[in-house]
Amino acid sequence: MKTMKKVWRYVARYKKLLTITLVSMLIVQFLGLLAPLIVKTILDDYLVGIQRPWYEVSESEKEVTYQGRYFSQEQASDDVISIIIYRGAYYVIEDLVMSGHKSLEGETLTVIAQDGTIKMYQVTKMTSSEVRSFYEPFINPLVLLIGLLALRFFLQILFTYIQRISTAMINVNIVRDARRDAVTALQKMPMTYFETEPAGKIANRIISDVGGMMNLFSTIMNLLINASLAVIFAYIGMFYLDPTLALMTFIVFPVVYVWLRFFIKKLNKIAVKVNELTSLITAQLNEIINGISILQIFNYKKQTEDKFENISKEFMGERIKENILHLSIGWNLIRLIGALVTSIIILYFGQKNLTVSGFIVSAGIIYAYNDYLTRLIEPVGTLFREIGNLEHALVRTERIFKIIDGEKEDGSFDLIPRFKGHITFENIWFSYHENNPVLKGIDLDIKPGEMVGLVGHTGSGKSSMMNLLLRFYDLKESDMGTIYVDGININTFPKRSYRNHVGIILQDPAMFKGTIADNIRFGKDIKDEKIESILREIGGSRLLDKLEHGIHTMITRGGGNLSVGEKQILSFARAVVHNPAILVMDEATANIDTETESMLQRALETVKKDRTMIIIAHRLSTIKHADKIVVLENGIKVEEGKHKDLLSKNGVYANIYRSQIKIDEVN
Amino acid sequence: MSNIFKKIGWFVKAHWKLHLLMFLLLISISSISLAPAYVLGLSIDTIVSGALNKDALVRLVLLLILLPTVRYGLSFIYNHLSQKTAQTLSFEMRKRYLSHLFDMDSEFYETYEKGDLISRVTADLDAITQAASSMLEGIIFNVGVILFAISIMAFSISWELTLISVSIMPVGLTLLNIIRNKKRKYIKRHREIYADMTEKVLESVEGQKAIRAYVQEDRDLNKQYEAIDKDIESWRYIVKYENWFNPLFEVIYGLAYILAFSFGIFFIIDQKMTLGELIIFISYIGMLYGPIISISTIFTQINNATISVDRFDEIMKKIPIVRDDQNSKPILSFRHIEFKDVTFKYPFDKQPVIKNISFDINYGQTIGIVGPTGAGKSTLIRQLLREFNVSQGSILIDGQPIESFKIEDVRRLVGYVPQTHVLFKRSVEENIMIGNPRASIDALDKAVKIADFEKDLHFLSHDLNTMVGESGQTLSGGQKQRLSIARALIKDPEILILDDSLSAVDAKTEDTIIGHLKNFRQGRTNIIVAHRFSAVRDADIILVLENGKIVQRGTHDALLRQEGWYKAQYIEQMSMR
Repeated sequence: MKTMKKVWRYVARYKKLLTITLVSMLIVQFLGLLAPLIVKTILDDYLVGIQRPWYEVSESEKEVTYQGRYFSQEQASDDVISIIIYRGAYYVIEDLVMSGHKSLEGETLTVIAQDGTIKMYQVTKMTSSEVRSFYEPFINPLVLLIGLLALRFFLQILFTYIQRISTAMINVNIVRDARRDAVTALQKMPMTYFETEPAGKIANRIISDVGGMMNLFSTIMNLLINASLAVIFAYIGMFYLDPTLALMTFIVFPVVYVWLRFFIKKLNKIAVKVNELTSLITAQLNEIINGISILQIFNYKKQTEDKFENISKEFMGERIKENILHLSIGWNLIRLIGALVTSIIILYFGQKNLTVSGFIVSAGIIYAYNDYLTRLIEPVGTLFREIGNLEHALVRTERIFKIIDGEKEDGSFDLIPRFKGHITFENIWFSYHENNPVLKGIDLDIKPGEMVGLVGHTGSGKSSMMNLLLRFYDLKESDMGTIYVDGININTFPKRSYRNHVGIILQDPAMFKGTIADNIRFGKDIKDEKIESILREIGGSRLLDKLEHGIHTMITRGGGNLSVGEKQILSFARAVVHNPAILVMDEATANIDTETESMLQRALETVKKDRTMIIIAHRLSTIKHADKIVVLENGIKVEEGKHKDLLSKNGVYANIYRSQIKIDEVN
Repeated sequence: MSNIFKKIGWFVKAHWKLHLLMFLLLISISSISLAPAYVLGLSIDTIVSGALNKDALVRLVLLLILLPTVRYGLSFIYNHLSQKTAQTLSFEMRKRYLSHLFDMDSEFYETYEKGDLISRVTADLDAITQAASSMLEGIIFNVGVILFAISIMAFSISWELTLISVSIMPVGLTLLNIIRNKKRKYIKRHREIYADMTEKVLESVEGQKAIRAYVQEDRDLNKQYEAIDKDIESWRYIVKYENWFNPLFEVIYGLAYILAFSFGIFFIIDQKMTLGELIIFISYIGMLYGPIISISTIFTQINNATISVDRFDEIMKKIPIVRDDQNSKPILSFRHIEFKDVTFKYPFDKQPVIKNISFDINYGQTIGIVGPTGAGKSTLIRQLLREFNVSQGSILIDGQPIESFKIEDVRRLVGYVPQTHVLFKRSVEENIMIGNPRASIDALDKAVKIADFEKDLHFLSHDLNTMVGESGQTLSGGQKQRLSIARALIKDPEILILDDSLSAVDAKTEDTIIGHLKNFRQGRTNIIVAHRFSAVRDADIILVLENGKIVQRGTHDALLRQEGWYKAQYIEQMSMR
């Protein structure tokens, strides 16, 4: 219900469309009620109506002329003739025919009434023109009725169209709104979210899980509103035609209820298993592909296949079971019941015709009742078919709302003056998960304009320090310490204002679809020429000259056509354009050829001017000339100082350094 | 469509009797589905004629119960068989796919992403099996219904009325489908717009750090809105024209219905038709609606499935470069392996990793390989695993090129302990037994002991039965390495390769393991790639690799007597201790 309420938030924005949908639904259902009634009138009152008694009247009152005599069904008189239709042929009898079981032999009609009385009549077969003349008075109303039938039909098409298109428009709109809200919410989510969930999964949620919301809405419209209307209108028709039979159908509801509950219970049980097995198959494949080389080397094919086959077979079995459930008590049974309805109607009316005196069943009533009952069964079929989708849609909708209604960070932004770039870490204790600190009492002072290198193994806390400095994470209550920039606690700035003066160059820099110029500009209003000169200034000439379209070269998402080194160069240019007071660079770990490396070195020299720079270094050559090198180990600052001093100290840094440098440098 | 048939033809042929049965079932179902309406018409005629009595009533009601029940049964059988075959097909295809994955070489795994490989055998396979089963039903059942209904209408009721009302349907439908297909081309364009949106959202998610660091949230959001709106408007366009199609067809259908009704009434008056027949006729027109719509959409469905078929088939058609041929010879043991001028370049690299390497391995030798990171040590030694073919030169086993032997057999010779540890989500014991599934308990104990893994067992919650998380989450780096060593040892291989496998264990454990190996692997061939010199000191020959070339070779003592990388690094290591 809570989920429905959330969906309603979106649907409610389109009340006008919703009203149109609902009104059209009502009209369509009402038109549906009319169809069988019109057909019934055509059949009973006119086509079979010829069987009602014809009275001989004077010329002025005549409706039909037959063998020089005048007849009418309106005006009663003593002279009466009857017309009967027997197996498609028409016969005339100079008498009033008693009701009962008729049989015709030669020119003698035998009628056996319910009480057993038998009467015989002489009949005369009518010619075509005679039949036509008796139908003459019916032609006009028949034409009118067929016109009405056609009109009703086309109106139904029209309103069904209106209903469909307005529902579709609501669908389209809510998907748009939800997607927009989801991407907006995403921009304000804490950074943690992006580190725990793979990007593909997040994007998939925003794009396709929104479809679940749409399904939920249409399923509800279909199941709840349209189906209820269909049932109500079918009952109106049925009560009008034969209240007793209509009442009798009520016993079906509790049966359907119990049956549905049973069906859902069984279906859910299998669905859970099928889902489990599906993810198990994916997990197995994932594991196999991850470890394929080991499995191949150890010739472990047979065993792996056997294990996979077991799951695969079980999956197959469950799918077959699921199908059997649908076939035995799902749609197949509903269709059977829908078809059996006809037999019940024939039985009911036929029986009544034979036993209740005075009751004459007509073709029209059978036709119309059959129609109404079919309309009654149809929604039950829909219910069984869509109930599974409903569950699925609910789950997906909840997932998308987890993003939309997720945790939000402050998004405010004011312009604040550029920092001088004095950074102070004061006794920082920080943990991602409580009681598991990754930074343990870090103290660090970085003067404006300094270049500082951070060194340490994976997991030593370098990235965590920078995550804090960039405020991708904030210190929690369980953490300790404060980070100051220019003597002000950074938490007192609005996040976005603060970041305006703090930049980062990522290990694998984010590149966006667009030209190189767009990527460097990245939101800043700056001319192309300026971009090019900046890029050349920081040493990107080689890259630029290589590219046919220069800075207007298109790059794809993630910069697939560029090397990591090249992306970092572009990223440097981006940083220069945005001119942050503090710039953090996370050096690429990937193997970089010497040429690119020297290019990056040069870039660094240019970029570090006029700002405080922190480099997370993997190749120590980058930070040899840093003002200060900080060595971290297990979240503790173990060494701090200049390259030379640290080397002569012969501690952790010296060790790492020695393991990296090449043999010729040692010699 | 023929595409799909071609791809799954083997399956239909293999189960042709079953498919024939399903074909017959479908024909019966389509004919029986028309019967109840016919009986209803007869009943109405009987009632109108006043010819209804108890016998007739019972007959009619029984018929009306019997026909749908038979249909229920036949539907049950058919759909069960159909689902069973579809699932069997899918099972078989999964099996073939997995088996195929095992035959693929490293180059293949560098070309295709894991997620893509998985989705081809899950999502795509689903689409294929669904299309395969709905194709038969869609075509045969629908065509059956249409043909049967039209024949009954034309031959037993009135051919004139059939001509008048039914002929408008195909004409109108064809016209509409032409219009629709023209529009359908737009769907391709829509797919591109949709992909653009997906890309944009993905890009924003991936670039979140950069966006936030440069305070570009608003600008990026606007771009995302733009992409979303573009997709939505394109979708709206499709929805609008798709929604036009239905009412247009309904109008055509409505015309057929009204024509049938008005002319039907005329025929009744003319005594050409009975009332019941009119009702049968009209019911049949109603029944034609579904099948005609289905047939016109089934081809699009099948076309969509062909994309999946192609994706699946692309993988199945890949032939690994490293593969056996008919003449591949078996090999159980060896005396001598020779690397002759071996150069190797990874398929997507520009530069070779190892260049002109020549050396010999004699049975029973222990060979050490050292050198700086990135020198190509691991690449060199993995040539024995037959993951790739060498780019130049050759590797000879007892004088015969390594390619002439069965891949499986060559790999059986080798027990390999990789640099990065690949463990599987099963128990520790099962992980070790991957090395040799038929190993005895004693062999297991022995392997655990040699690998010095025994001491770790008390730290594990359930001993050997402890579950290893995917990629070995519950174990420490050292434990993972020791487990990997045990996995290779339980095989008791002709050649044991430790590919820098002792990096995460401390010096003492390393000594223990090396000591164990000396004892238990005496007389067998061992190749040890290491960073610490203590691990290779006792090797019969040590190769020093630098920049993909062997720069020094000899025993430990001999190498220490030469000036070079070995000596310099050795002194460095010793002084650091």
